[in-house]
Amino acid sequence: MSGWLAYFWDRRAEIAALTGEHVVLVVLSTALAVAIGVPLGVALTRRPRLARPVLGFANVVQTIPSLALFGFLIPMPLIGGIGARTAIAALVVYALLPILRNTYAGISSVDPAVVESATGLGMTPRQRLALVELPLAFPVVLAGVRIATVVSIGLATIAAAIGAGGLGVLIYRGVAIVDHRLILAGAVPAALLALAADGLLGWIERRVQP
Amino acid sequence: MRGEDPIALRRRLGYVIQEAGLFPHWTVRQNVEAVPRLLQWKESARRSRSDELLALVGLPAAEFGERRPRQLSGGQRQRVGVARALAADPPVLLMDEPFGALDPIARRAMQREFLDWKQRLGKAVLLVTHDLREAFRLGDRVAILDRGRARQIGTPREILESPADDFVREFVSDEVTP
Repeated sequence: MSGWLAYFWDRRAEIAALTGEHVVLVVLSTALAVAIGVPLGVALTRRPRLARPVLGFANVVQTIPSLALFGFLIPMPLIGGIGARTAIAALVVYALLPILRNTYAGISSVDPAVVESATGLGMTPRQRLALVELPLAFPVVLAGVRIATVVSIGLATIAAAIGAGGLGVLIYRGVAIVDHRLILAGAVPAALLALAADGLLGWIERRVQP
Repeated sequence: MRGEDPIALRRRLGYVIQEAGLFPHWTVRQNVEAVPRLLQWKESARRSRSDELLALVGLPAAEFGERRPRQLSGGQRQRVGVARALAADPPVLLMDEPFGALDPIARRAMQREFLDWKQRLGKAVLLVTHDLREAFRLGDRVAILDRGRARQIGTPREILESPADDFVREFVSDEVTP
Protein backbone atom coordinates (compact mmCIF):
# COMPACT_ATOMS: atom_id res chain seq x y z
CA MET A 1 0.00 0.00 0.00
CA SER A 2 2.75 2.46 0.91
CA GLY A 3 4.35 1.61 -2.42
CA TRP A 4 1.19 2.83 -4.19
CA LEU A 5 1.06 6.02 -2.20
CA ALA A 6 4.73 6.67 -2.96
CA TYR A 7 3.98 6.05 -6.64
CA PHE A 8 1.14 8.61 -6.58
CA TRP A 9 3.25 11.04 -4.57
CA ASP A 10 6.07 10.90 -7.11
CA ARG A 11 3.61 11.87 -9.84
CA ARG A 12 1.74 14.47 -7.81
CA ALA A 13 2.70 17.37 -10.07
CA GLU A 14 1.40 15.64 -13.20
CA ILE A 15 -1.75 14.37 -11.43
CA ALA A 16 -2.48 17.88 -10.15
CA ALA A 17 -1.97 19.46 -13.58
CA LEU A 18 -4.20 16.88 -15.29
CA THR A 19 -6.85 17.24 -12.56
CA GLY A 20 -6.82 20.97 -13.29
CA GLU A 21 -7.37 20.31 -17.02
CA HIS A 22 -10.13 17.88 -16.13
CA VAL A 23 -11.93 20.44 -13.96
CA VAL A 24 -11.66 23.05 -16.74
CA LEU A 25 -13.22 20.62 -19.26
CA VAL A 26 -16.10 19.78 -16.90
CA VAL A 27 -16.79 23.32 -15.65
CA LEU A 28 -16.73 24.88 -19.15
CA SER A 29 -18.93 22.21 -20.70
CA THR A 30 -21.44 22.19 -17.81
CA ALA A 31 -21.62 26.00 -17.85
CA LEU A 32 -22.32 25.95 -21.60
CA ALA A 33 -24.94 23.23 -21.13
CA VAL A 34 -26.67 25.37 -18.47
CA ALA A 35 -26.55 28.41 -20.76
CA ILE A 36 -28.25 26.42 -23.52
CA GLY A 37 -30.38 23.95 -21.54
CA VAL A 38 -32.13 26.28 -19.08
CA PRO A 39 -33.49 28.78 -21.66
CA LEU A 40 -34.40 25.91 -23.98
CA GLY A 41 -36.19 24.07 -21.15
CA VAL A 42 -38.13 27.26 -20.30
CA ALA A 43 -39.01 27.72 -23.98
CA LEU A 44 -40.37 24.16 -24.11
CA THR A 45 -42.76 24.86 -21.23
CA ARG A 46 -44.17 27.72 -23.34
CA ARG A 47 -44.61 25.40 -26.35
CA PRO A 48 -45.62 22.05 -24.84
CA ARG A 49 -46.27 20.55 -28.28
CA LEU A 50 -42.54 20.76 -29.02
CA ALA A 51 -41.53 19.28 -25.67
CA ARG A 52 -41.96 15.61 -26.57
CA PRO A 53 -40.03 15.65 -29.86
CA VAL A 54 -37.23 17.84 -28.49
CA LEU A 55 -36.79 15.81 -25.28
CA GLY A 56 -37.02 12.62 -27.34
CA PHE A 57 -34.30 13.85 -29.69
CA ALA A 58 -32.06 14.79 -26.76
CA ASN A 59 -32.66 11.32 -25.34
CA VAL A 60 -31.56 9.66 -28.57
CA VAL A 61 -28.41 11.80 -28.79
CA GLN A 62 -27.61 10.66 -25.26
CA THR A 63 -27.46 7.04 -26.45
CA ILE A 64 -24.62 7.67 -28.95
CA PRO A 65 -21.52 5.96 -27.49
CA SER A 66 -19.27 8.73 -26.26
CA LEU A 67 -16.11 7.53 -28.02
CA ALA A 68 -18.07 7.47 -31.30
CA LEU A 69 -19.37 10.99 -30.69
CA PHE A 70 -15.85 12.27 -30.07
CA GLY A 71 -14.85 10.59 -33.35
CA PHE A 72 -17.79 12.08 -35.27
CA LEU A 73 -16.97 15.59 -34.07
CA ILE A 74 -13.32 15.58 -35.17
CA PRO A 75 -14.02 16.31 -38.88
CA MET A 76 -16.71 18.93 -38.09
CA PRO A 77 -15.96 22.58 -38.93
CA LEU A 78 -15.67 25.11 -36.06
CA ILE A 79 -16.35 22.73 -33.16
CA GLY A 80 -14.24 19.87 -34.54
CA GLY A 81 -10.56 19.07 -34.67
CA ILE A 82 -8.19 17.53 -32.16
CA GLY A 83 -8.14 18.94 -28.66
CA ALA A 84 -10.16 20.37 -25.80
CA ARG A 85 -12.62 22.33 -27.94
CA THR A 86 -14.04 19.19 -29.54
CA ALA A 87 -14.18 17.44 -26.20
CA ILE A 88 -16.11 20.34 -24.67
CA ALA A 89 -18.61 20.25 -27.56
CA ALA A 90 -19.22 16.53 -26.96
CA LEU A 91 -19.51 16.97 -23.18
CA VAL A 92 -22.08 19.76 -23.71
CA VAL A 93 -24.17 17.34 -25.78
CA TYR A 94 -24.25 14.82 -22.90
CA ALA A 95 -24.78 17.40 -20.15
CA LEU A 96 -27.65 19.02 -22.02
CA LEU A 97 -30.29 16.33 -21.55
CA PRO A 98 -30.46 16.20 -17.73
CA ILE A 99 -30.42 20.01 -17.52
CA LEU A 100 -33.04 20.43 -20.25
CA ARG A 101 -35.30 17.72 -18.84
CA ASN A 102 -35.09 18.96 -15.25
CA THR A 103 -35.71 22.58 -16.24
CA TYR A 104 -38.79 21.52 -18.19
CA ALA A 105 -40.02 19.27 -15.35
CA GLY A 106 -39.25 21.84 -12.67
CA ILE A 107 -41.16 24.69 -14.36
CA SER A 108 -44.03 22.37 -15.34
CA SER A 109 -44.45 21.17 -11.75
CA VAL A 110 -45.04 24.64 -10.28
CA ASP A 111 -48.54 24.68 -8.73
CA PRO A 112 -50.99 26.03 -11.37
CA ALA A 113 -52.79 28.04 -8.64
CA VAL A 114 -49.52 29.88 -7.92
CA VAL A 115 -48.95 30.60 -11.62
CA GLU A 116 -52.54 31.80 -11.98
CA SER A 117 -52.28 34.12 -9.01
CA ALA A 118 -48.98 35.53 -10.35
CA THR A 119 -50.75 36.39 -13.60
CA GLY A 120 -53.88 37.59 -11.77
CA LEU A 121 -51.88 40.00 -9.62
CA GLY A 122 -50.50 41.63 -12.76
CA MET A 123 -47.04 40.12 -13.25
CA THR A 124 -45.72 40.24 -16.79
CA PRO A 125 -44.70 36.81 -18.18
CA ARG A 126 -41.07 37.79 -17.61
CA GLN A 127 -41.69 38.77 -13.97
CA ARG A 128 -43.65 35.56 -13.43
CA LEU A 129 -40.70 33.55 -14.71
CA ALA A 130 -38.03 35.43 -12.75
CA LEU A 131 -39.91 35.94 -9.48
CA VAL A 132 -42.04 32.80 -9.24
CA GLU A 133 -41.38 29.97 -11.69
CA LEU A 134 -37.57 29.86 -11.75
CA PRO A 135 -37.13 30.23 -7.97
CA LEU A 136 -39.65 27.44 -7.36
CA ALA A 137 -38.08 25.20 -10.04
CA PHE A 138 -34.52 25.96 -8.90
CA PRO A 139 -33.91 22.84 -6.74
CA VAL A 140 -35.06 20.59 -9.60
CA VAL A 141 -32.90 22.47 -12.15
CA LEU A 142 -29.95 22.20 -9.78
CA ALA A 143 -30.51 18.43 -9.43
CA GLY A 144 -30.17 18.25 -13.24
CA VAL A 145 -26.92 20.23 -13.13
CA ARG A 146 -25.65 17.86 -10.46
CA ILE A 147 -26.35 14.78 -12.60
CA ALA A 148 -24.79 16.48 -15.64
CA THR A 149 -21.64 17.40 -13.69
CA VAL A 150 -21.07 13.92 -12.29
CA VAL A 151 -21.65 12.30 -15.70
CA SER A 152 -19.28 14.80 -17.34
CA ILE A 153 -16.48 14.03 -14.90
CA GLY A 154 -16.62 10.38 -15.93
CA LEU A 155 -17.02 11.10 -19.63
CA ALA A 156 -14.20 13.64 -19.68
CA THR A 157 -11.70 10.82 -19.04
CA ILE A 158 -12.54 9.58 -22.55
CA ALA A 159 -11.75 13.01 -23.98
CA ALA A 160 -8.05 12.17 -23.69
CA ALA A 161 -8.59 9.88 -26.69
CA ILE A 162 -8.90 12.95 -28.93
CA GLY A 163 -6.09 14.86 -27.29
CA ALA A 164 -8.14 16.98 -24.90
CA GLY A 165 -6.01 16.24 -21.84
CA GLY A 166 -7.40 15.62 -18.37
CA LEU A 167 -7.09 12.60 -16.11
CA GLY A 168 -7.91 10.28 -19.02
CA VAL A 169 -4.32 10.82 -20.21
CA LEU A 170 -3.03 8.71 -17.30
CA ILE A 171 -5.69 6.05 -17.85
CA TYR A 172 -4.93 5.67 -21.58
CA ARG A 173 -1.19 5.60 -20.92
CA GLY A 174 -1.74 2.95 -18.22
CA VAL A 175 -3.87 0.84 -20.54
CA ALA A 176 -1.27 1.12 -23.32
CA ILE A 177 1.60 -0.13 -21.17
CA VAL A 178 -0.57 -2.41 -18.95
CA ASP A 179 0.29 -0.55 -15.75
CA HIS A 180 -2.50 -0.70 -13.12
CA ARG A 181 -0.94 1.92 -10.93
CA LEU A 182 -0.95 4.41 -13.78
CA ILE A 183 -4.62 3.64 -14.56
CA LEU A 184 -5.51 4.20 -10.91
CA ALA A 185 -3.49 7.42 -10.83
CA GLY A 186 -6.06 8.74 -13.34
CA ALA A 187 -9.17 6.89 -12.16
CA VAL A 188 -8.97 7.54 -8.41
CA PRO A 189 -8.70 11.35 -8.68
CA ALA A 190 -11.55 11.31 -11.25
CA ALA A 191 -13.74 9.30 -8.85
CA LEU A 192 -12.87 11.61 -5.94
CA LEU A 193 -13.66 14.61 -8.12
CA ALA A 194 -17.09 13.14 -8.96
CA LEU A 195 -17.84 12.44 -5.29
CA ALA A 196 -16.76 15.95 -4.29
CA ALA A 197 -18.89 17.60 -7.00
CA ASP A 198 -21.88 15.44 -6.08
CA GLY A 199 -21.50 16.28 -2.40
CA LEU A 200 -21.07 20.01 -2.99
CA LEU A 201 -24.03 20.36 -5.38
CA GLY A 202 -26.19 18.14 -3.15
CA TRP A 203 -25.39 20.38 -0.20
CA ILE A 204 -26.37 23.52 -2.18
CA GLU A 205 -29.54 21.75 -3.31
CA ARG A 206 -30.59 21.09 0.28
CA ARG A 207 -29.73 24.65 1.33
CA VAL A 208 -31.98 26.27 -1.28
CA GLN A 209 -35.16 24.20 -0.71
CA PRO A 210 -37.82 26.91 -0.96
CA MET B 1 -61.99 47.53 -20.20
CA ARG B 2 -61.49 46.82 -23.85
CA GLY B 3 -58.24 48.18 -25.26
CA GLU B 4 -56.72 48.59 -21.82
CA ASP B 5 -53.37 47.06 -20.91
CA PRO B 6 -54.31 43.79 -19.12
CA ILE B 7 -51.20 43.89 -16.92
CA ALA B 8 -51.99 47.38 -15.57
CA LEU B 9 -55.65 46.44 -15.21
CA ARG B 10 -54.84 43.33 -13.16
CA ARG B 11 -52.72 45.41 -10.78
CA ARG B 12 -55.78 47.58 -10.09
CA LEU B 13 -58.05 44.60 -9.36
CA GLY B 14 -57.75 42.71 -6.11
CA TYR B 15 -57.73 39.03 -7.01
CA VAL B 16 -58.32 36.14 -4.59
CA ILE B 17 -58.37 32.58 -5.91
CA GLN B 18 -59.27 29.25 -4.35
CA GLU B 19 -56.48 27.82 -2.14
CA ALA B 20 -55.20 31.43 -2.09
CA GLY B 21 -52.35 30.64 -4.57
CA LEU B 22 -49.80 32.21 -2.22
CA PHE B 23 -46.17 32.17 -3.32
CA PRO B 24 -44.69 29.34 -1.22
CA HIS B 25 -41.12 30.68 -1.42
CA TRP B 26 -42.08 34.10 -0.01
CA THR B 27 -42.96 35.05 3.55
CA VAL B 28 -46.48 36.17 4.48
CA ARG B 29 -45.35 39.80 4.39
CA GLN B 30 -43.67 39.43 0.98
CA ASN B 31 -46.86 37.86 -0.35
CA VAL B 32 -48.97 40.76 0.90
CA GLU B 33 -46.50 43.26 -0.61
CA ALA B 34 -46.50 41.55 -4.02
CA VAL B 35 -48.56 44.11 -5.94
CA PRO B 36 -47.08 47.21 -4.22
CA ARG B 37 -43.67 45.79 -5.19
CA LEU B 38 -44.78 45.40 -8.82
CA LEU B 39 -46.01 49.00 -8.66
CA GLN B 40 -42.61 50.02 -7.21
CA TRP B 41 -43.83 51.54 -3.98
CA LYS B 42 -41.17 52.70 -1.52
CA GLU B 43 -40.22 50.14 1.11
CA SER B 44 -41.59 52.18 4.02
CA ALA B 45 -44.97 52.56 2.28
CA ARG B 46 -45.09 48.83 1.50
CA ARG B 47 -44.25 47.97 5.06
CA SER B 48 -46.85 50.13 6.71
CA ARG B 49 -49.45 48.87 4.22
CA SER B 50 -48.67 45.22 4.97
CA ASP B 51 -48.74 45.91 8.74
CA GLU B 52 -52.16 47.50 8.37
CA LEU B 53 -53.62 44.73 6.21
CA LEU B 54 -52.26 41.85 8.25
CA ALA B 55 -53.84 43.46 11.33
CA LEU B 56 -57.13 43.82 9.42
CA VAL B 57 -57.28 40.11 8.59
CA GLY B 58 -56.34 39.12 12.16
CA LEU B 59 -52.78 37.96 11.48
CA PRO B 60 -50.58 40.60 13.19
CA ALA B 61 -47.32 41.09 11.28
CA ALA B 62 -45.18 40.75 14.42
CA GLU B 63 -46.38 37.18 14.81
CA PHE B 64 -47.14 36.05 11.25
CA GLY B 65 -45.19 38.36 8.93
CA GLU B 66 -42.08 36.20 8.64
CA ARG B 67 -43.85 32.84 8.36
CA ARG B 68 -44.10 30.86 5.15
CA PRO B 69 -47.52 29.94 3.71
CA ARG B 70 -47.00 26.26 4.52
CA GLN B 71 -46.77 27.15 8.22
CA LEU B 72 -50.36 28.49 8.15
CA SER B 73 -53.75 26.77 8.30
CA GLY B 74 -56.07 26.85 5.27
CA GLY B 75 -58.15 29.66 6.78
CA GLN B 76 -55.06 31.71 7.62
CA ARG B 77 -53.71 31.27 4.08
CA GLN B 78 -57.00 32.51 2.71
CA ARG B 79 -56.80 35.60 4.94
CA VAL B 80 -53.32 36.32 3.60
CA GLY B 81 -54.78 35.92 0.09
CA VAL B 82 -57.39 38.58 0.92
CA ALA B 83 -54.75 40.90 2.43
CA ARG B 84 -52.62 40.47 -0.71
CA ALA B 85 -55.57 41.29 -2.95
CA LEU B 86 -56.29 44.47 -0.95
CA ALA B 87 -52.67 45.66 -0.87
CA ALA B 88 -52.78 48.29 -3.61
CA ASP B 89 -56.22 49.47 -2.47
CA PRO B 90 -58.11 48.28 -5.57
CA PRO B 91 -61.61 49.67 -6.11
CA VAL B 92 -62.86 46.21 -7.04
CA LEU B 93 -62.14 42.87 -5.40
CA LEU B 94 -62.44 39.71 -7.50
CA MET B 95 -62.86 36.48 -5.53
CA ASP B 96 -62.96 33.14 -7.35
CA GLU B 97 -64.38 30.51 -4.95
CA PRO B 98 -62.31 31.95 -2.13
CA PHE B 99 -63.68 29.68 0.61
CA GLY B 100 -64.24 26.56 -1.49
CA ALA B 101 -61.32 24.56 -0.09
CA LEU B 102 -62.06 25.21 3.59
CA ASP B 103 -63.80 22.90 6.05
CA PRO B 104 -67.37 23.96 7.00
CA ILE B 105 -66.37 25.56 10.31
CA ALA B 106 -63.49 27.60 8.88
CA ARG B 107 -65.67 28.51 5.93
CA ARG B 108 -68.43 29.82 8.25
CA ALA B 109 -65.89 31.88 10.18
CA MET B 110 -64.41 33.34 6.98
CA GLN B 111 -67.87 34.24 5.69
CA ARG B 112 -68.61 36.16 8.91
CA GLU B 113 -65.30 37.98 8.60
CA PHE B 114 -65.94 38.68 4.95
CA LEU B 115 -69.19 40.48 5.83
CA ASP B 116 -67.29 42.55 8.37
CA TRP B 117 -64.53 43.52 5.88
CA LYS B 118 -67.10 44.32 3.22
CA GLN B 119 -68.76 46.80 5.57
CA ARG B 120 -65.53 48.42 6.67
CA LEU B 121 -63.79 48.66 3.30
CA GLY B 122 -66.70 49.79 1.15
CA LYS B 123 -65.41 48.09 -2.01
CA ALA B 124 -67.28 46.44 -4.82
CA VAL B 125 -66.71 42.69 -4.54
CA LEU B 126 -67.38 40.17 -7.27
CA LEU B 127 -67.44 36.70 -5.70
CA VAL B 128 -67.86 33.49 -7.67
CA THR B 129 -69.20 30.44 -5.81
CA HIS B 130 -70.95 27.14 -6.43
CA ASP B 131 -72.65 27.41 -3.05
CA LEU B 132 -75.98 29.20 -3.34
CA ARG B 133 -76.29 29.57 0.45
CA GLU B 134 -72.94 31.32 0.45
CA ALA B 135 -74.06 33.57 -2.41
CA PHE B 136 -77.24 34.54 -0.57
CA ARG B 137 -75.45 35.03 2.74
CA LEU B 138 -72.69 37.23 1.33
CA GLY B 139 -74.15 38.92 -1.73
CA ASP B 140 -76.17 42.11 -1.98
CA ARG B 141 -76.99 41.16 -5.54
CA VAL B 142 -76.71 37.64 -6.94
CA ALA B 143 -76.36 36.57 -10.55
CA ILE B 144 -77.40 32.99 -11.37
CA LEU B 145 -75.22 31.73 -14.22
CA ASP B 146 -75.97 28.78 -16.46
CA ARG B 147 -73.31 27.80 -18.97
CA GLY B 148 -71.81 31.26 -18.96
CA ARG B 149 -75.10 33.17 -19.34
CA ALA B 150 -76.81 35.15 -16.61
CA ARG B 151 -80.30 33.71 -16.04
CA GLN B 152 -81.24 36.22 -13.38
CA ILE B 153 -79.61 39.10 -11.52
CA GLY B 154 -81.17 40.47 -8.36
CA THR B 155 -81.19 40.60 -4.59
CA PRO B 156 -81.51 37.26 -2.81
CA ARG B 157 -85.12 38.19 -1.91
CA GLU B 158 -86.05 38.94 -5.55
CA ILE B 159 -84.54 35.67 -6.72
CA LEU B 160 -86.31 33.64 -4.03
CA GLU B 161 -89.69 35.34 -4.41
CA SER B 162 -89.85 35.72 -8.16
CA PRO B 163 -87.50 33.39 -10.03
CA ALA B 164 -87.07 34.51 -13.65
CA ASP B 165 -87.55 31.07 -15.20
CA ASP B 166 -87.82 27.35 -14.46
CA PHE B 167 -84.05 26.91 -14.33
CA VAL B 168 -83.70 29.47 -11.55
CA ARG B 169 -86.80 28.18 -9.71
CA GLU B 170 -85.49 24.63 -9.71
CA PHE B 171 -81.96 25.65 -8.81
CA VAL B 172 -83.08 27.78 -5.90
CA SER B 173 -85.56 25.27 -4.49
CA ASP B 174 -83.04 22.42 -4.72
CA GLU B 175 -80.42 24.38 -2.90
CA VAL B 176 -82.32 26.34 -0.29
CA THR B 177 -85.30 24.29 0.91
CA PRO B 178 -83.82 20.93 2.15
